[in-house]
Amino acid sequence: MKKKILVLLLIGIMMGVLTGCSGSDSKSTSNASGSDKKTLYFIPIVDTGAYWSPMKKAAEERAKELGYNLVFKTSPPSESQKNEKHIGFLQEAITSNAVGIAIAPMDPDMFDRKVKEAKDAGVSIVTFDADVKTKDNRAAYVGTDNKLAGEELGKKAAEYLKGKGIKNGKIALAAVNLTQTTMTYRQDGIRKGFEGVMGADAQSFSWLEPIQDNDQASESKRQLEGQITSNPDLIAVFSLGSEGPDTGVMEAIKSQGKAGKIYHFGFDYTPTWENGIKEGLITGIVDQDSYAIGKTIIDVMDKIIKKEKIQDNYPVAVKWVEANQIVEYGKDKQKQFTNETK
Amino acid sequence: MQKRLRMAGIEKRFPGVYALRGVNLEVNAGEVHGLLGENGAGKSTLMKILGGIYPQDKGEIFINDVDCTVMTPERAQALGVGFVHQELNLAEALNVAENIFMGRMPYKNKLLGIIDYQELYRSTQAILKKLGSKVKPTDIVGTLPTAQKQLLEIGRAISLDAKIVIFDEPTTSLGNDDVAALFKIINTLKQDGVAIIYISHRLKEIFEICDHATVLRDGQYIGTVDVKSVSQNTLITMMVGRDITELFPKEYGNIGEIILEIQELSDYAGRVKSVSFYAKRGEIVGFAGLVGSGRTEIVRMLFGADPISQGTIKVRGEKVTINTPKDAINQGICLLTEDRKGQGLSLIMSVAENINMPNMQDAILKHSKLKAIAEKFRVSLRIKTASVDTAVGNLSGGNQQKVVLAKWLNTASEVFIFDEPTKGIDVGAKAEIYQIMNQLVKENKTVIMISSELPELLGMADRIYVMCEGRLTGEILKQDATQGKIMAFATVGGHHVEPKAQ
Amino acid sequence: MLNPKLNDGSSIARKIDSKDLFLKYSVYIVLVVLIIAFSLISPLFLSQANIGNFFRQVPTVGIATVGITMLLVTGRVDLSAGSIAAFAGTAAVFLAVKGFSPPVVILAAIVIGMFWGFINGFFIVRFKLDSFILTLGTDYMIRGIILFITNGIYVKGVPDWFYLLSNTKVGVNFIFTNTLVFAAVVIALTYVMNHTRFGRYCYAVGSNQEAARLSGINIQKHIIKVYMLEGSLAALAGVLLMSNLNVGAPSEAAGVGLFAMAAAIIGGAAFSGGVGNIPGAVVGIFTLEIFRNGLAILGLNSFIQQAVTGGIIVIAVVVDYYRRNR
Repeated sequence: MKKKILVLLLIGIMMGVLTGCSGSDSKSTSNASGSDKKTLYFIPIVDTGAYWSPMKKAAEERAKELGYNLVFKTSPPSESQKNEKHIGFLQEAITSNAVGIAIAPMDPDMFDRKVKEAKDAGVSIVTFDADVKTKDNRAAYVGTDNKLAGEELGKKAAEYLKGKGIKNGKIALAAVNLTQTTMTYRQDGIRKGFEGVMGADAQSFSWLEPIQDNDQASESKRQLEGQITSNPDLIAVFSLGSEGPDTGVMEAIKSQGKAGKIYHFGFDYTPTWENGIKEGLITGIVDQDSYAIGKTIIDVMDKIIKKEKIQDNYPVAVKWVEANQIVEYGKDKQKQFTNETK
Repeated sequence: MQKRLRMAGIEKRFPGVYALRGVNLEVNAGEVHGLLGENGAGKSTLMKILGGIYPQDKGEIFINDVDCTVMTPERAQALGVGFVHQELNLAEALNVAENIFMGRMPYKNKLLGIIDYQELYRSTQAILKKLGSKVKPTDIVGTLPTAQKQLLEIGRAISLDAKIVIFDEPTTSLGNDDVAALFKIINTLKQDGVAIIYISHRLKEIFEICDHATVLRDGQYIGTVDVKSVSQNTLITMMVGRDITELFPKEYGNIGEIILEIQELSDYAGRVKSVSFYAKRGEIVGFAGLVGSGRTEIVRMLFGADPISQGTIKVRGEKVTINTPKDAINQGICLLTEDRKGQGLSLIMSVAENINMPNMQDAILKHSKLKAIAEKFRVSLRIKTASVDTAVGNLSGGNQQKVVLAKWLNTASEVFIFDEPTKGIDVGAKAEIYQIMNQLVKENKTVIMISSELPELLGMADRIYVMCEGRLTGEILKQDATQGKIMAFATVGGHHVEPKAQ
Repeated sequence: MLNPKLNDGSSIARKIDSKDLFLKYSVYIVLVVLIIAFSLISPLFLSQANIGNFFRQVPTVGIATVGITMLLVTGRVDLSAGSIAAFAGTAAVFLAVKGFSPPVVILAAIVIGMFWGFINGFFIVRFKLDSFILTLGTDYMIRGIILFITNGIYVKGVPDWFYLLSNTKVGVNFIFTNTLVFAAVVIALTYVMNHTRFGRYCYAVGSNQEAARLSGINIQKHIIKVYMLEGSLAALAGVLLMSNLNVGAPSEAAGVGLFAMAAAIIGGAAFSGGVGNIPGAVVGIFTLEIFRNGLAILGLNSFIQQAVTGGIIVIAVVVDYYRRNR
């Protein structure tokens, strides 16, 4: 008897939780249909960190100004079935009759089909951060071209090294996840830009195996320490974004006493960089103007809905910031941070 | 009548012991045949040989006059040998039909393993009807009462079209009504011409249901009798039949004041019902009763191993609260459990560590001191081990029991509770354990001994309490004690004065 | 007396054959072979710089391994060790940034670790839960809470003294303060496991919980104590890790609990409890870390590094299987 009561109780709780969840979900959608506001879905990869946070803020502010109801959907960084979940958000947007969806697809192929379904259902799609495979299915792409951004960083790094009179050496590379498409693009871009500037000298530089750390600073630190030890002629490191590799690379350079001897070129502004400026653990970064990306996304959506003419591609340029300017640059940037979280 | 089963001259040796020596068993079709003997007499071994689980070393087996001397489990099943086990082997999460036909499901498509549930439920229904059971084939087994579960075991045997069905103490967990129902089913089977082998300790049942009975003792064939023409006494003599006094080197201590007094003790599960008893200094108090009569439960409560529902415990005249083993140890009570390996010892730890486990007083240990303590016990108890650093798992049963004893002698214990102290211990070590008990009572300590070996109780205990179904049904002084009296209290709670045996 | 397992040989007739010897000392053999192999392949492997790297990388996961080993001996596991380390470490950085003094910060981190250990232990004994599942749950919970509090962003502005906790050179070029802390923890816990009542109770509870209970040991209290000690060790590991990274990184130390468990098992501990010892576990973690260090020196592809590290764990536990069933 006791057992039965317990089971009933458990079921009760679970039902409560489930209905509670769906309740909150339906609230957001009923809000959407209840008011006259049109609903836009905004689905970034995550909403935390120096890149995504300003983007979210910009999107929310702009949507409010233009009178849209912005439904914000994302999952925590450690979510194990992230792709599936985000594809699910797309479906959710279609079912709840959103007029537009802005999505950052994690993989060009994986999201391709669902984006087509959305298009067929009459929902306009804007991609940002990365694109889908079939470009006809989405109305526009907003964001940095990762290849071009990489190229910019590669160029700047090569120019910097040239300026120091360095003509040969080894180059290391650290990223959160090497399998992500954006990371592959950045990597390709960096090499292209670097080789473009170096010209014939590019032959005398060699690239080490790229490091992957799953955003664990201790991991990229450990691996880079090994590479520094085994390659005394290591002269430059590229970190491809996120605080894990940023910190790992800086702390490895520091622990090996190579500050100012190994040049570190990074991707995207985070306040983390300020840790290393004084000691020379960071040389310079390219930063994507994520606030501008967020704002542009909503503007493009607005244009689509108002049937105005739009471009296929809205590139948002990256900005080269040298170490000594990072603090100043960051002050402006941090005003754009949101403090919310999922 | 047709001879369904004939086992002749069966011999089986296990390393060091003869389990069976020249045992015969003949069972007719349409007969219920009792198989009797004390614990360890060889009944189970004989049945396992019949089931093909052990090969016999010598002897012949004939089923329906066909030579089946080489028996395997598959062959036994094919020949219609079915077991109804004392311990139920059922998958509680599956339903009745799936349990009865487990491993022999009717398939719609054998290759894909698609089960023909219609056919399955139809056959199950037929079997259940034969059993007179009201459960449905789709009932989940876990939700059924024990008696019904037992029926399923029988159902499984029937579904196999068994020609020989072995009931191994089927009534231990059944109430009176359920026993009556079971006997009805057995009679039905009997009329269908099935040969039934019925193992039980309850002589009353043997007289009620059996036609013939075969008695084993210490692995030897004692004889087969027509149940109608013998008395209970004859059967008991056949089963016990040995001189026991010399095995037990009983010495008497000076029986002093009452050290432990229990009043109206009950547990939560209902296995102990309002039990009161006492024990004095210098006394060996025995507890007799069938397995499951509540003896172990009492001493576990007394030791704080299980929670007490009701009752008071007085130690040295003062009322005490015992919630944990630690409380009991502080009162000078210790328990040597029946399951030495599972509960008494840490087999992978050393002799010294086991001996010191209940009595590590210092937070920082002095290994030399602990070793010296262990060494002292190794010598005084003659524990046979290479050193006190040897893992206890490497010791023999008797020496393990001595380690458990040393563990408690190492504390300030005054009341030593032994639960089946000589189970699985050879004769030589047994005598040594008895000597230690003698020594304890001479030192004015108290021994409480639970035993299922009646000779042991009769030989060693100054006073014997007898339990039956959770109640204390009798108290017998050493000079008045006989096996018959004890069994009368243990089986029928002392309502009949005439002797009945296990 | 250090390890009851090693005593088996003395009671049974001692059979010395090469296979037995190999199995008995397999972990040590693997460690030596690894060191020789890597130093042959790369002259840099035994360089002062690399040894320095190694000794600075090991302490974090090493201290966690010591705690986990103690738990395994007691017959329990803790998958939340990494999260506790991240939580306590990040909290320590936060307090340090706020200007609290070193003793307060370190004490607070250890108290936080103890607190989470208490939560783990309490739930496990109170509701008789399987430690594997419970700590899987608390792992998510603790990690989630610290990510929520910090918004997933690193805590920065670490004061110098905090950085120096891990990174002060001691005498020679390749020994740092965190290495010393690790060594102290190993020595202390080895002593605790072998020479104190607390330690022997761990073995008693792990090898036969019921026998321990019936010997008058308060196993519930003991298990909670073990979790609290393990939690505080994880917290200490977290502080050293954050000091090493010079930030408070709430996402760090993911999977450290599992990695430490693998190391402990390679070093002779068993899931079933009752066996294992701290020195063995240290050899275990050294084996794994030297392997990873060597692979990094060789500059192997990082996916292959991951695969090979997994492979060595598999091989080590298979060898352990033979060791147990010889």
